[in-house]
Amino acid sequence: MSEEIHLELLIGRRVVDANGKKVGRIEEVLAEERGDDLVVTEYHVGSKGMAERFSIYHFGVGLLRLLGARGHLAKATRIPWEKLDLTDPEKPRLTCAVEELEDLED
Amino acid sequence: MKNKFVQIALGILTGIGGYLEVGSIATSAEAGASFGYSLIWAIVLGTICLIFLIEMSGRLAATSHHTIADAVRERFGFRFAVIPSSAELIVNLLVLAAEIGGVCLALKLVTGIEVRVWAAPVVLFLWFALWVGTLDVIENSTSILGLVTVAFVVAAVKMHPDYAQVARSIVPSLPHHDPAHYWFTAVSILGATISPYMFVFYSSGAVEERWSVKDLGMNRATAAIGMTFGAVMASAVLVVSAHVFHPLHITVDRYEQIAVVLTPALHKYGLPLFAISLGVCCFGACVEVALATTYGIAQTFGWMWGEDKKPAERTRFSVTYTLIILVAMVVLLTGIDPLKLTVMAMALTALILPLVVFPFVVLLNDETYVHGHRNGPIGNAVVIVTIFLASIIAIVTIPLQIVGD
Amino acid sequence: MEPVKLVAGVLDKQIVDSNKRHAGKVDGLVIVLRKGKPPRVGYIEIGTAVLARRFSKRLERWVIAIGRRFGVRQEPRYRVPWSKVKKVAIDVQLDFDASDTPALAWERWLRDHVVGKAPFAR
Repeated sequence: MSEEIHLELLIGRRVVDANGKKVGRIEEVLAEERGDDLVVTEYHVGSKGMAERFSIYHFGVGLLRLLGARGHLAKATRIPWEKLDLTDPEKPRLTCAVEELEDLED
Repeated sequence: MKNKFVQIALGILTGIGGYLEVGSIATSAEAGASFGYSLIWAIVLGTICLIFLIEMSGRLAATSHHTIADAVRERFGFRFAVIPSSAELIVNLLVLAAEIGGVCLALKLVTGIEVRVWAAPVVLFLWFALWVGTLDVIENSTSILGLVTVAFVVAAVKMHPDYAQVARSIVPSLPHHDPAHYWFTAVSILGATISPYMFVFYSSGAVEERWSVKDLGMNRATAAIGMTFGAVMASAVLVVSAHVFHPLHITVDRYEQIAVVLTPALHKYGLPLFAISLGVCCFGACVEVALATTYGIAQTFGWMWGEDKKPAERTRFSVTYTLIILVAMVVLLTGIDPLKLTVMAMALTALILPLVVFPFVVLLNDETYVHGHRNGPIGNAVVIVTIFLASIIAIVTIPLQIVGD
Repeated sequence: MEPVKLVAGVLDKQIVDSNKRHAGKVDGLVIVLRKGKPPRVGYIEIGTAVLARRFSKRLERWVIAIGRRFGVRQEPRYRVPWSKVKKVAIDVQLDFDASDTPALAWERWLRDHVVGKAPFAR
């Protein structure tokens, strides 16, 4: 049985792992062409924190994020498609523990 | 594609005619009357920031082929984009009402007929110009007619200003008296100079003309030269006002007072030249503000928006600017004092600058949009510091001004 | 093949049809989950109701209700199957003419009932 997910509602949702530990929020979804279809390959999750460097520029970017702006990630965790359980799209869950995933540095 | 020199010349003309409008005239005149040459630095700072912003909007268009509003929604999402768009819409409606008021005032100066009577005919003419006219014709005619503002420079020179003192005033200084009014006037000059509608308009034109990377040099030249000419005009208004009103301790409360500012230098030509300058500049600004506001909405929602299309080819766009003009007319018809409306609209513009401009600056540092033509540190620094400073001063002085009135 | 970034590269992008007409923005993107297979990108969604839902479900219901009273489209959302997308570059290019589709319903309605009736409109 197939189910539909709305991408624009999925982004920004917090992901927890199989142990209930917080992983971060979904900020990007990667897809690839396979045959006639465009299929999802991985989800990128980042933590929404204030920037490390203190400067007006980063302060402003932080403010933008507070106002709901999307952004590129400094550091993201990659989740292969099969490891994210979307049976409840409002509460995405990892099918494993967060330590079992690899890190992605942009 | 137009010849490079023609392009730059048009840019200069737009700078002269497009920069000076009711906001710049009113705020510069008030600054000169109340504080002499002291606030020239606000014009200079505002213009430097504006040059960077105009150049940036041209560069964004040329490298990403996106307009500002289009790119802001794409990059930051719709939920965020609504915030600066709404703020701009509200402020632009007030600015448009002020500009329409400026045209009506010019007509009153020439005919004696009251401003409120002129509101509907002017709005009808404006609507008709947008409906039927092409952008080239409108821009070129207002730009060429806008050359009449050279009268301010002529008048300024004839008053034998203290050029050394003028030069010293380019450096910011603290007020000798009435600090709340000084800083409020400074912030209203910044808001009049750094008008978001100008660079929204500029980026839309650049995308419509399909600018590309090879136009970047011309873009820089147009921005720098055009806006500098505009700043010279605004400074001339300030200097003339300083000479005519400041020694007599006249504060400018009504437009009718500003109208005589050219008379001491240019005698019987003073009033008509002022009226024509005001009328032409404000009409040009009406077109730009109305279109820029509509561009912002259309581009955020993804509608057809090209200016050189017939109304039936972009109906949501055409209906939107019709409504915008009507709302602005209603605002004007409430009987609000046009001068107060103008100055407050300029101060509110300064207030929302960070909200509107900062996302734009972020885009200009984003590789996926500008492909190797990112902002330099100086550009970033000047713009960011100016807009945040303007906003902070606005937050402090606007309430004080309202209470003081 | 370069992987496609669905958020930065597709969502909220300008949609352009085969005649280069602007047909709205990618207001929504529907992903179809499949058992044992990777989810596939199913549809683009266009419409004010889709945008309203990004804020809250209540706002979406309100927009749909208003749309039913005063609107011009039968359905509050217009779905374009992903197979109809020709290319994703500066914009999302569709491989068909959108002029008679719900995406441009308001453009048509305003042209037929308001703008078209005014002089010098065409």
